[in-house]
Amino acid sequence: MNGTIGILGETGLKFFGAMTASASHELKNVLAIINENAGLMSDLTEMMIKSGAVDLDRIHSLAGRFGSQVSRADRIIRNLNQFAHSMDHPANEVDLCEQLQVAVDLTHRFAAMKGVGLELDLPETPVCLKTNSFFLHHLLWLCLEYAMDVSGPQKSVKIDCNKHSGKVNIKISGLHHPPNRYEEGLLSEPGKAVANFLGAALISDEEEGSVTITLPENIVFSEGRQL
Amino acid sequence: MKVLLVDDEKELIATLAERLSFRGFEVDFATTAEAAIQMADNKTYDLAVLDIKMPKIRGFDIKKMLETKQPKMKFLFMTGHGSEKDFQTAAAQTGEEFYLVKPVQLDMLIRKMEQAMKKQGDS
Repeated sequence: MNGTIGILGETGLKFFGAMTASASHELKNVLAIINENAGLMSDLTEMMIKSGAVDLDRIHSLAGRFGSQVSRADRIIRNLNQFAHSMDHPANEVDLCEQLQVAVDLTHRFAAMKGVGLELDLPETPVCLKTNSFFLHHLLWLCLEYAMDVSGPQKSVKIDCNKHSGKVNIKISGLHHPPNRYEEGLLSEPGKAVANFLGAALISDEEEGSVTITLPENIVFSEGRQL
Repeated sequence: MKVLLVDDEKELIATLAERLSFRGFEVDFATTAEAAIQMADNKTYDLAVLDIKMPKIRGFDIKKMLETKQPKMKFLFMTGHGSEKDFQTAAAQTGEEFYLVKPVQLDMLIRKMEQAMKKQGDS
C-alpha cells in the first residue's frame, strides 16, 4: 500500500464512520419519537376507556405523527443505502444533482448542530459525470465542513453546480474566509489526497466568499491509483 | 415536581412532557438552550432533563448555565448518541451520574428523576 492510498483509506474510513454515526444518531431520535407517540397512544386509550369518551381527532393526529416519522426514517435509510453503495465501483456514472442532494441530507444534522443552514440550488436537468462516487462524497463533506465553520454571521451556505467545457463545477458560497484558514484547513493532507485522486481542483474566491470544486467529466486513474 | 425538559427534537419533548403531566408532574419544555435559560429566569424548577447533543451547545454546558441561575436544580441527561457503555464512559469523565439512552422508557425516566432528586439532594 503506497502513501497516498494509505491516506485515502484512513481518511475515507474516518469519513464513513462519521456519516454512519450521524445517521444512526438521527435514527435513534426517530425511534425515540415513535416510542413516545406509542406511549402517548397507550395513555390516551386508557384515559378514554376510563372516561368512555373517544377523541378520534387525537387518534388521527397521532397516526399522522407515526406516518411522518416512518417517512423520516425511510429517507435517512435511503440516503445511507445510497451512500454505502457509492463504494461499489472505482468509477461510475453519477448524477451530480442526485449526489449533492444525498450529501446535503447526510450533512443536515452536522449543519443543525453548528446552527448553519444549507441551501441547494440545482439545475433542472441532470449534471452527469464519471467519477468515484464515494470520494466525491468525501470531498463534498470536507468542503461543506469547512464552509460551515467559516459561514460568517449569516450562517447560510449555498451549493450549486453546472457543467461547462467538459468540466463539472460545484460552487459552495456564503463563506467568510479567515486569512490562511483555507490553505491550512481544507487543503490539509487528506483533502489534497482526495482532490488529487478525483482529479479535482479547488478554487477559493475570498472576495466572493466561495470555494469551487472543478472535476473532470471522466475520471482518469494514473497507474496504480485505481482503488 | 417541577421539571424542565430540553431537547431540540420538539415532537419528542412535547410528547414526553404531556405523558409526564398525566402522571402528576408539572412540566415545561424548551428546544433551545436560550429558551431553557429564559424559562429558568421566570420559574423555579426542581429538575431539568437535558439532551446531551444540542445545536451549538452540549447539555453539560446548559447544565452549567442553569446551575448559575438555580443552584438547587437537579439534572438528568438523555442521549441518542452511541451505546449505553459509551455514555457511561463520557458520564464518568464529566462526573455526571444520572443519564438515559434514547429511546427512553417512561417508567425508567421517572425512576431516574426520583433517584436524581434523592441522591443529589443528599449531597
